[in-house]
Amino acid sequence: MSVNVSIVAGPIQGTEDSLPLDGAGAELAFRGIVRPYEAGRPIVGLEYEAYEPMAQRLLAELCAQAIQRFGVLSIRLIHSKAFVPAGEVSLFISIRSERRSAALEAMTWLIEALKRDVPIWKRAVAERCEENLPELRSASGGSGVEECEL
Amino acid sequence: MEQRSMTVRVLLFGPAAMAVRLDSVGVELGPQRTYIELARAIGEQWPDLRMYVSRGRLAVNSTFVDASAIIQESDEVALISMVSGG
Repeated sequence: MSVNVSIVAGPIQGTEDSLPLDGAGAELAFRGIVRPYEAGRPIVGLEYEAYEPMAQRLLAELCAQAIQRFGVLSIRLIHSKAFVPAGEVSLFISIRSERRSAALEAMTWLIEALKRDVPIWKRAVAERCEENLPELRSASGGSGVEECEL
Repeated sequence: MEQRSMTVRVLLFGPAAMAVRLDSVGVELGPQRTYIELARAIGEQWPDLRMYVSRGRLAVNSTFVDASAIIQESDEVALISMVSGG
């Protein structure tokens, strides 16, 4: 049983897995793709913001819980942070199990738990707002997050 | 011995950060230093964050804690509200 979790900047690429199968009879892969519209209006992408140390730890804990609960063999999860253009992958999950039903159930449970519990936020970026975006003021003096109302 | 007041810095993300256009806020906390008191103080001192405090939770040092937890000045506190990952 293994868990591999990472948070990467920008779109997710190169999700091929070379780890040994360890008796798996099923491998289920999920790719969440940024839609080109939000609330019926066109967007150029999504800006993801993560409270990273907590998000990383909670993702690993949820994957470990999924292994325990559904008896799957391994879970590999990658989540994007920062800007991901429409049409690109922002979430990748691969679950291996001896039989397909366990992986299917674990995948549904894990995605719902992730969306409910993990401190990651997304914000639509519309084409007309790409320039001259106002910034958050940072108490630490660093740059803030851009805003774009749809 | 009487405890002095302290300022706790609360990290903000997502819609809560956008509501006040800041990525963190300072919150004055008196002698009562529990999670409950901090949540109340955030709402009083930053009214635009009240909704996010009531709908969310505070994490202390990257961990959700219960309402009786005592907050230290050196703790990293984050307001986690209305997550939307995936």
